[in-house]
Amino acid sequence: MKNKFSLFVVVIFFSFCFIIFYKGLNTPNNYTPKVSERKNIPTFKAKDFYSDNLM
Amino acid sequence: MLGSIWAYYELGWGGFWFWDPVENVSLMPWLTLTALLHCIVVLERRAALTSWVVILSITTFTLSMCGTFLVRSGILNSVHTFANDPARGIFILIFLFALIILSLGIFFIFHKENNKSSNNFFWLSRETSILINNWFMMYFLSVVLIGTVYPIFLDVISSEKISVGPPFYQKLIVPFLIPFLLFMSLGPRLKWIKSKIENKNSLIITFIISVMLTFFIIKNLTTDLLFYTVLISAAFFLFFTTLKELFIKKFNNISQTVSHFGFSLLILSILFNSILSSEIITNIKIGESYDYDKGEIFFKKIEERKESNFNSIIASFEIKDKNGKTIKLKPEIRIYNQPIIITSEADIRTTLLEDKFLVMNLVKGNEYFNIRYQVKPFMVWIWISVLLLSLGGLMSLFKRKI
Repeated sequence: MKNKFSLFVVVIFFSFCFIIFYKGLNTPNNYTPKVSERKNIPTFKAKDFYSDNLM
Repeated sequence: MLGSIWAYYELGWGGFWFWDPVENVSLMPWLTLTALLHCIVVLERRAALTSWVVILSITTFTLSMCGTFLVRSGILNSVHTFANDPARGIFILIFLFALIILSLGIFFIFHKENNKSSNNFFWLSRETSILINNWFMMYFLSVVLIGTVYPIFLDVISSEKISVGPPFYQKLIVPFLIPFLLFMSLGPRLKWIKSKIENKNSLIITFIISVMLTFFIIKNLTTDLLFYTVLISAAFFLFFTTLKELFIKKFNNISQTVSHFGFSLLILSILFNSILSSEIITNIKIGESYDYDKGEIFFKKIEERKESNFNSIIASFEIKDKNGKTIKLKPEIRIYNQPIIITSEADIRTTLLEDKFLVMNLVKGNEYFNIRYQVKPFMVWIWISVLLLSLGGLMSLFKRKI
């Protein structure tokens, strides 16, 4: 009886730990450096070689 | 230990232990395994602590798995959490908890109560001292475990991010090393079942010598004189008692003596290393010298070297101490090209008494280099003592054959 009660307590405790770890996995703490890259994409206008249409 | 040596020599971290989660998860199974090895001896001699031995066996294996989960799933923030993957983490987590529930389930279902009388130990016996040190090891384990997993629990429950650093572990663990070391010194001198302290005078004299030696060594070195005197005295006491056993008993129970001697050496090396270490961090340019209270650092020149996968900047420093003795150190900065990574290669001059460690970094957009110069006493003894500890453990495996 005592053993079964102990097992019950242990199972409850570890289930709680499992839930915490499981939730923790959803918000991983991987280190990612804060790099802000702003790439300026150049814009230009040109005429099509054959039709003289603006591109 | 191998990780420590690698971080120290290869990565140039300038230390051997940082209480990082990865280090902690390797320490935890070591603690339970050490407790287990001691309890197995009690089980062998007295047929006692059966359940405790089973629990320690389960815990040791579970903690090894737990380590894999913590550092390879991405759940913890650490410099070591490379090659992690939350998707894989779920599989490790399920495997880990299946392992725990199954093994504990089997234990609780099939476990039968032992004869209680076999677990009643006389207060002054070898098994009592082993049991007490088991409690201490379980306490150390609890501190390390809480410090490692508590940030995860707090993050999940309250979305609060904290990191537990070295002061937490040091404040909670270091004071308890004093009784731990004393029990380690006295335990092996006690007999099984019922004992009395033999050679009391010799023990008292050894203890007095340890206290006096410690006091004279550290009286001018630390502000926390009383605490460090007691702590280092306890370590010296273990050192002298095990050294004495090594000479008197020779090959009788050599594994235990070598391990305990290695542990005393480890604690002494760590303590003196932390008390006597010095560090200088400064920015310096070529041709400049930096004076400090114990000498002078002169930045002589830099050279460039091209290898197939990296370019290297090698600096030449001359470090002169107060006595006029000069050493040359050549730290390096490497710029790897596939992918582009900049690493610092420390130059370390190792002697039996101390390590001189110099590492440098680039200061962006500046002609200055940032240097970190450290003098770290007894570093090599830390590695030697851990080797002795491992050797003792290895010897215990082949004990009967020796």
